[in-house]
Amino acid sequence: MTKTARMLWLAMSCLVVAGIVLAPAAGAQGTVTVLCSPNVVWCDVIKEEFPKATGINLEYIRLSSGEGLARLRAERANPTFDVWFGGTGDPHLVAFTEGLTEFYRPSSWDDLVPAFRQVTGETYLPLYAGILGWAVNDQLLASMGLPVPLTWKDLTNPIYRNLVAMPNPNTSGTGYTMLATILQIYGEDEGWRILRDLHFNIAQYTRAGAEPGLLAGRGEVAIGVTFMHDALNQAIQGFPVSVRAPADGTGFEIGGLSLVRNGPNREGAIRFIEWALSPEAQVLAAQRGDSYQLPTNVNTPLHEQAPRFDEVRVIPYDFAHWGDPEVRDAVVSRWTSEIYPLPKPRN
Amino acid sequence: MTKSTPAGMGAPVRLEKVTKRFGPVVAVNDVSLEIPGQKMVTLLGPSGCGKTTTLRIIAGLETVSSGRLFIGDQDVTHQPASQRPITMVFQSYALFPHLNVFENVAYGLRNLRVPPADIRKAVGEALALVGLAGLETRAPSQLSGGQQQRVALARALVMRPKVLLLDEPLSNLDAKLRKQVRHELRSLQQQLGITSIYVTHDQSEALALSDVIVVMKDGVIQQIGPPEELYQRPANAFVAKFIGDANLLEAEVRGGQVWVGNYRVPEPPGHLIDGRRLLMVRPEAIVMEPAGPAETAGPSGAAQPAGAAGAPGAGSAAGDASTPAEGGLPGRVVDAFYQGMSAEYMVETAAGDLMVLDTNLAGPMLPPGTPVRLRFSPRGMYVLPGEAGAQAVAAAS
Amino acid sequence: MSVRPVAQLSEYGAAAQGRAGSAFWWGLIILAGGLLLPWSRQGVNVLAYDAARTGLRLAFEAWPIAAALALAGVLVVLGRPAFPTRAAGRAMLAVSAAGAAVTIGHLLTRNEPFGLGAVVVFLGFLSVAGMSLSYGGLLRVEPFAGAAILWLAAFIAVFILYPLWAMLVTSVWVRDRFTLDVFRQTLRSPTFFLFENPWTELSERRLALWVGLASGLVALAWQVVLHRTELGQNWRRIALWTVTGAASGYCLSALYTGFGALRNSVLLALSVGLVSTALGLSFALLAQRSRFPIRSLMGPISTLSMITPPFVLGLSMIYMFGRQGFITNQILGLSTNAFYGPLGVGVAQVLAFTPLAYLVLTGVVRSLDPAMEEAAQTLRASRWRLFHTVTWPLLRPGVANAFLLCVIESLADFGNPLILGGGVPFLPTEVFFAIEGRFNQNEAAVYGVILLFMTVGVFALQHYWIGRASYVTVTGKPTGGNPSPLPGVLEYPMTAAFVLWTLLGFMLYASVFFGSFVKLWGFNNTFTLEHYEALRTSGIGVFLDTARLAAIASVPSALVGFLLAYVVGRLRFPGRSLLEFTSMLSFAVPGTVMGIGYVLAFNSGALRLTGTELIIVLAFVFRNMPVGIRSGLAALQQIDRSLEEASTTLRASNVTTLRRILFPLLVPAVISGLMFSFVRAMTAISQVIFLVTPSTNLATVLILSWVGHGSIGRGAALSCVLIAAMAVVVLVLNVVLHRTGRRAGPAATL
Repeated sequence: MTKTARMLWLAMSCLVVAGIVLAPAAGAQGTVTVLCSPNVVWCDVIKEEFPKATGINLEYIRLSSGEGLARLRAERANPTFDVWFGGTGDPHLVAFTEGLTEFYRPSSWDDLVPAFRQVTGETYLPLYAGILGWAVNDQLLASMGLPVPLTWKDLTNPIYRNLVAMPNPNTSGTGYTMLATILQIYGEDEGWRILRDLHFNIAQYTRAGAEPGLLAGRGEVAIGVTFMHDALNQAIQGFPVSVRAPADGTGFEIGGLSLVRNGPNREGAIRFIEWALSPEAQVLAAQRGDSYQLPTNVNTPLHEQAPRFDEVRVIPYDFAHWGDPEVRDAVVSRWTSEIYPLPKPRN
Repeated sequence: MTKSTPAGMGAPVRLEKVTKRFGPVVAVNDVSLEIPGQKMVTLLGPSGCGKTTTLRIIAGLETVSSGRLFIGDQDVTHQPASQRPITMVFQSYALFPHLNVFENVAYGLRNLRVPPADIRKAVGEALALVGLAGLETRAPSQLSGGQQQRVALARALVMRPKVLLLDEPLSNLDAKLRKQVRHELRSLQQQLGITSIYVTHDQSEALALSDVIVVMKDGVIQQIGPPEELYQRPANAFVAKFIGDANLLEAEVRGGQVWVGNYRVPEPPGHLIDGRRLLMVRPEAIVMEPAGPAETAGPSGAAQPAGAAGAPGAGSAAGDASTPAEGGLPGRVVDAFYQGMSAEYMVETAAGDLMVLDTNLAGPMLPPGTPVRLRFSPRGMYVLPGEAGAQAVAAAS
Repeated sequence: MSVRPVAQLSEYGAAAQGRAGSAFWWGLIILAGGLLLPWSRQGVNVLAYDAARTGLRLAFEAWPIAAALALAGVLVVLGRPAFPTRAAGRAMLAVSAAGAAVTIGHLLTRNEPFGLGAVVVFLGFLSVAGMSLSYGGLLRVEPFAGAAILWLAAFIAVFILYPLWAMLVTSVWVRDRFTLDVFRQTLRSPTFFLFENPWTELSERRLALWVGLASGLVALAWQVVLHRTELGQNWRRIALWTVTGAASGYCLSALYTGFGALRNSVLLALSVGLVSTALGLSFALLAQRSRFPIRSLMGPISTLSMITPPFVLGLSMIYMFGRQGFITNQILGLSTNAFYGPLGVGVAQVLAFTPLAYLVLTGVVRSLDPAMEEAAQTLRASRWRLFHTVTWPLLRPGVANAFLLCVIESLADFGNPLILGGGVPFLPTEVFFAIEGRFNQNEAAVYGVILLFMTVGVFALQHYWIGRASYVTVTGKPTGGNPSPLPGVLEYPMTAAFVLWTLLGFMLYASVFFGSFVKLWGFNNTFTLEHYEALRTSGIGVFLDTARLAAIASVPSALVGFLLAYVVGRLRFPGRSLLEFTSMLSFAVPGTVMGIGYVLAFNSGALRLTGTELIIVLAFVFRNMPVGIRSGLAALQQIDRSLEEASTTLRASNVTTLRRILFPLLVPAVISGLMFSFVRAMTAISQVIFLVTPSTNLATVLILSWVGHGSIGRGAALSCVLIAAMAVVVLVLNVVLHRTGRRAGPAATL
């Protein structure tokens, strides 16, 4: 027993010492820390490719854009992150107005799609553009004998009860984009009524923007409100979904890229931004990152299936108004208090 | 016996007004006690009397609520147990199950950082002393109860303590082994001259072992003295009852004479102060013979009552056999138990039921119902101090 | 034992003479640490060395540092004697208390993250203060124990009480002023609880009133009938039952018809508690009294459920019970997503918590003395009556214990509501959404406070109801005699339930395993290893990191738990029960609550730890330490106190006794404490999800984020790796335990 006790001591000491010795040197220079908001696969790709291109190590954590903004606010005094990569533009704008991020003009500025560049101005950088749409599980609808919905209003039809999924605007930029889109198309009164009626049909509010597509793909719901590139990802992976856009118009997002103010490795962050806006880096998204957004560098070759702006009815999305943090907060909290908790009629 | 007493061993222990409370319970109440060096002292009492607490206070395993404690001339009241020059043998032996016999005995020496060579020598000596040489590598679980007890003893002795504390060390042994170990313990203690404090609730063990016995009850010392004194001259009814068997009778002392009812008791020692007193009579000090018609047929040819001076008021004695006052106490056998070497009777008398031990079994047992006459012999009697009433109450509790 | 004259045994003096006291050495340590190590740091690395911030440089600028070092110098002088007098002890206490105060004051006013030097100095002063409490006669324990008590108290205060305090403060302290607005808003928010539903025709409030009234009347009638002979004597009891009946009727009706996180969590917890306890009890009874080999099956099953990250079953349930689920759709032909939401979460929780209830109850069931039942049978009691009058009353405390434990686990569960909740609010997930989604720390804190009070309330209830008597040793020894077989009415349904439960569990595990090897779970079932290959880029690294952190954390968890068990179980000092209660608190509190507490407490200022590996390790340690305490306490109960007393009278200090007597005897308990801490750390999610950083991600968090983004195959693959690795660890340690246990077994029961 004493021998066992001695061995136990030895083993425990070894464990602790080995654990401490094996710890990676935290916060080592030459590491860029990225807050990564797109699809985790794309994040893995940049983690692999950026060091190959520049020799700088890259660490990332995957947080949706809402969560990312929350994290940046929490860490205002001591930012962990150098760069915020991807995610809907609105939170990027909020972060900029709150002084969490700063504008950086990349050398490829002139190669960026001018339309997007004009929207963002000197706030955050456009990384990609995505169009809001639906992932529709045609099989499920067919098996239930239901028509394919065409407009946002169609979605409120009670025949789709418990067959729709949308992201929770509290946690997902996609969810907010949808709110803003409907409010822009139909105006305040009509828009909020549609959102309320839609609520009764929602089977699930998801945490992340891509999840509704996933649910539609698996047939948990028939229609998932999500970005078309995320829906396309489901389709390409082999799920029985079709990528659709509502006929009464849809909004779009500009995926953002921001330099975090007072980040631990500013030089690395700038190297990363330069790299991320280059065609070589942007093409990786569709090739290997399961991400089919429209790249913002005009020199980047397009994926053949990527949803394009000229194919759908895109509304003139008022980024200046709907991206305003106060508007955003007001909309989201109104939705959270007035619609989200509404009990669904039992039937 | 104490010729080989080593210097430094056998320090006296002194308790000054020691009190220990556990919440509202007073376990040890204002105890002052001087334990002479190199003696075997027994703390005796029923369970819950505070004897073990007293022992643990001496060991340092309990703190005192008030009072002071000296070992030798050193005040150790606030010294932690691990600093005191004492060792202890526990009721459960408390052998370390994961250490073998050698390591168990060597444990304390290792704590004192004694050089390994000395440890080997000392452990060898200690084990030889208790007759366990050769069992060094055994695990405690491989030893018999008696052997475990000896290892515990060797473990305590090897430290050469100034005081050895023994907490009912024999209670886990069977009756036969207990008697043997008791003698060995006694001679070992005398040979080594260690001050030993021995806690037990077994009065025969205490009588056989001790130089001095301390009788305790409810946290208070009842009497301190050598075994013979306690047996022959108990300080109170409790001690009388607790040590050996005793009959307690209410007696009347008048001018140096002791009367139990109409029986004048022959010359008892003790506190012969006029008034109602409590008389202790040991069962073996009562001579019993059949009374009345059975007297001639009585097989127990006990000595005829010696002619004595007539007692005052003897004329008032009433009885079918017009017995003189010194002729004995009349009674009737209620119960009889055969015990081999002796017979135990319960005899109903006017002074109460008495227990009688007949060690002189010369004939058949007297059946219950036999009328008898009891006479007390002075050797086993004692008149207790104090008034009878209060004493009787104390004895009853 | 033949008595013979022996050679004189040699004399041994007190060994401590001539040695310097421990306070002296601590004084030197403080001096060395304070001079050579940095007092504060810039980055996140706690171990980083920064020459500009050492005491050598700073002592001339910052007077508190100079003062602390001077006080340490005084200690070096005062601490020379090995056994200081009382007066010297009190002087050292004053000096060390001043030193600790100066150190803390300096850290707080500097408001920079602490450095290693400050830690060494503070702990040094703390140790001397603890020892001096003993030297000065203020604490009647040994110096070592005094220091240990202060250390434990300090760690518990900083890492358990302070985070909870920070959370409480955040819930009422908004923008630098005290307000109950956040409380009011949150409690009124329909997300929390909505009573009157405007979209239904009937009034929920009225309904609840009626139900409350009715159940009150039923309770009254029942009690009156029960005590019809002595109504007068029992009026208090009757009144109590009536009020309780009415109140619970009202509450249940309100909860059932209501809406919101409170309603969902409470109803879920109650039903999961009931079902899990019923199943656990059935299995425990079956294990003892059925010929069915249930015990040998339950062992591995409960181990398996222990090493499974809490949400993995939820993950596979989607594939079994979703709208396209294998069972619901393929077998039953249903098209429903009823399993998203409370039902699915409930099933997943029942699967996960039944083994827990079983473990608690199996000890109780086994400790039932068959002789008692035999005695009852000889008195001609029928089987049912036997169960009703003898067995059940004996089981009741254990059953209540298991029920409350499952209720708490369900209230605290985070992963299953997140995956299967289907957007329905639950309390633990609302904490998460409030902080990670709405970024409202105050709201999150309010939810945390509510959860905290609920769970602590349940624990208090448990304490009040069952008291300490119910501390069940899982290793309860079976007594002799043959337990009576169960009535058939009970046995057959129980066996059926067991078979069903086992099949379900097996199927879910199999589906996770299957899912990790196919291209697209449920749609494209071609075999592939791509998910495992994909782990090479990011999964394996994170997995190894997780294992490393969990392994580091398991050692202090087990050791601190062991020390706490000793201090609480064996020493007497003022504040002992407080220490015990607070140390168990981190176990009772839901992980999300502890997680948010850590974020709020250690995000800035002198104690800044967020972003470090250390905070994750600390979260693990203080979360899992109670497991060590429990197994330590249980093991200590089986060790005769006189062993320690014997050691003490043989001149051993407390440390020596601890090291040479108790520790070797408790090796099995320590090993199992290590194992449990490791496993719990590996599967932890709720308390660390707020604490992960880019460089220190954890496997469970990664799985959750993969699953959230559709890489389910990869999530399943990592889950399988996790489960397999832990199975190996548990198996190896069990073998070790078995071997040491066998060697220690007979001796320990001596």
